[in-house]
Amino acid sequence: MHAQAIHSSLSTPLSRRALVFALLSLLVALMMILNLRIGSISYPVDQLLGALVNPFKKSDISYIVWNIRLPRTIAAALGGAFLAVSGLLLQVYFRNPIVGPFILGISSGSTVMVSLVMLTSIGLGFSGYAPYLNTLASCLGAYGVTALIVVIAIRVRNGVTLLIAGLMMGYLCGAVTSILTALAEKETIKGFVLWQMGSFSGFKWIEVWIMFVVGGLLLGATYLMSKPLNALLLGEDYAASMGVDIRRFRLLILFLSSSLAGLVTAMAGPVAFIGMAVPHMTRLSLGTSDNRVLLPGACLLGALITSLCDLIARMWLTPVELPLSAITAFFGAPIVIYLLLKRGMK
Amino acid sequence: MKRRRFIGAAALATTALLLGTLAACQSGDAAKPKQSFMNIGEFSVNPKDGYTEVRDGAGRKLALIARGAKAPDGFAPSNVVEVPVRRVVAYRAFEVGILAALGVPETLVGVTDPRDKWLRDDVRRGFDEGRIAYVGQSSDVDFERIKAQHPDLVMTWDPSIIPMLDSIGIPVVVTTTPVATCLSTHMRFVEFIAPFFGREAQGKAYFDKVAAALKTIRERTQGLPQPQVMWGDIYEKRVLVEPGNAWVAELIGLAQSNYLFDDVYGTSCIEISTERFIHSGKEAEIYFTYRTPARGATSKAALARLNPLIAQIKPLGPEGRVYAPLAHYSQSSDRLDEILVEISAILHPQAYPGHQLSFFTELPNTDPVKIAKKD
Repeated sequence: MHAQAIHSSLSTPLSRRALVFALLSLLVALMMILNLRIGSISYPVDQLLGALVNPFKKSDISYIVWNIRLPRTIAAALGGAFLAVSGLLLQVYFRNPIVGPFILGISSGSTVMVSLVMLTSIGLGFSGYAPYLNTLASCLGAYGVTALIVVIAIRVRNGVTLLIAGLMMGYLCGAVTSILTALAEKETIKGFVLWQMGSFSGFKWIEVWIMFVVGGLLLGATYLMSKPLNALLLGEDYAASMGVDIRRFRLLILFLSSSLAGLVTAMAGPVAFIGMAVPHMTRLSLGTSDNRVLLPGACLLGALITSLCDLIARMWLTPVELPLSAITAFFGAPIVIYLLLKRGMK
Repeated sequence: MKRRRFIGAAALATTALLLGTLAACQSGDAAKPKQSFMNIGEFSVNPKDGYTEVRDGAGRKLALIARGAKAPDGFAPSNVVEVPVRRVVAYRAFEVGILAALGVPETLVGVTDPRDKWLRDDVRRGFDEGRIAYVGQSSDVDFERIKAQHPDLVMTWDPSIIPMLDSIGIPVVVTTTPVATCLSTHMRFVEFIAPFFGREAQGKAYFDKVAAALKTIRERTQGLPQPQVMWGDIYEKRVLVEPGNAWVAELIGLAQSNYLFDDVYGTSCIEISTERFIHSGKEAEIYFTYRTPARGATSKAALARLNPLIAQIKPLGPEGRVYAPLAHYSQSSDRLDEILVEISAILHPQAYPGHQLSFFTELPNTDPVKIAKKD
């Protein structure tokens, strides 16, 4: 982006931003309420409220609200926010608008580890960890790849080389997954295919807490970087002249972005589109490239769109669930195309 | 005038009778009942002049002709099958069972599971004799291996292999459809396969046997209290169930029981929301899991350990009943009548005193404690 355009976009009127933020916050809150309210089993509002205020009451509705709907609602909002911020960071890093959080092979890393657990008999040796085995494996895969990317980034300064290295890592992991799938038992493949489509279904409270605490810390750290990120938008030389240690800063961006994406993938499987499209939508709706504004904006918009997609995935053919990634792509891609065309015409 | 009409009608009738008799004599099988058009779910069998036209699960029309006979017009060479088929490759264990039901297990020359995955004696024997070959995974078969087996026909669920097999001149029949198989289709599928092997009579006999079992089930369960039944599983965080249009769901209804996912429509084994599974599970009395004991379904406690969410459903409690399929269940389509009876016996044990389970196992509350041997 041209330096002058960036400067001008950094000075968008505050009143408009405030309005957009207020609207987004309201919509996120409404969407979360809607996700709690609507489900494949319908309950009257008073019963739902009663269940919400009595978490320990032993009833069907209390169990469903507190163990199924609420964790899922929170997880979808958090997951959307994390993916959007992860994508935004990488788009600034690579100065490439079509980059998303999975471009560096993070989801492939998760997938290969989950395939090891789901498609082989390795998991049988760890039956004590059964409910969390996939999450643990996915976490290992995502952060294994993250560590490799950071190691490569220490040695390689060129962003394009890093991008290609990430893509190659994705191919390698994909190859291992393909071999495991080819050799797998038929009855295990369907579960694995479903996992690859991503879902916030079946979230446990422990997972929500991990997402909240770890993701919250990562988000906080990211926000502290918003000023140097703005400086990076104007070029590495400019950022360096402002006192930014470019090498360390690049590593930090990669670490934060990969960690956020890895966290979501570990818990929910790969969720497509959000990380790539939401940063665009945020820029266009807020009319700025100022990362101090974009970061919270992307959080809100990511949470809103992911929650909406999750609601559609759950309710369109209820009680049948549709793959979340299909909905995110189906719902969001036309919006991005429209917004980009609109901007192009202007 | 009246007399003329009478003579004319009599002449016509006599001619028709003569022609009919001549035709029957020419075929040399006058006693064989003429097969009429059959719709078997998405499949159909339509006898035509000199050949039988069948429509497979992918909606393709195939012509079944006698060996050495001229192929009818309008059919590509790869869509013409010479019958009776003598060598066949089958993708699914279900079709392998059907071959046994038709009395032609020796026609099987290729399967998509290696020998150690088979629990059927006839298949294992076929491997040992060198007649049957493993032709690769069903998702990625080895075409060279298939070709080497010289099959007359490949029975598959995968239409993507058709162009390749067309090019090497092996006819293919698609044996699955995009919708779940209803009970009637499940039972009558044998009548779709039978013409390929010239075993229509055996197919009919097999169908009659299954239909008789179903009739007995209806009579035996009439007026009994209706248990609430669910069939499915949670794989990590995703819930898969049998939809209401699947054959097991229909059977449960016929056997005077309530299937709790009756309103779910889709292909066999479909994903539904966790809350619906848990909600229905609170009402259920009997739960059929997809998992075999080898896949962790060894006890109710083991299932709950695998998925803490599932622990909430009523059948996992001390008064509920949970059943897991045994490994040979999916390879026993030739014993469909026994499977139907067994499911009915599970639903209404009071109507089947002394029934010994042979396709399913009832899960105990906890795994038996293993006692280590001293020596």
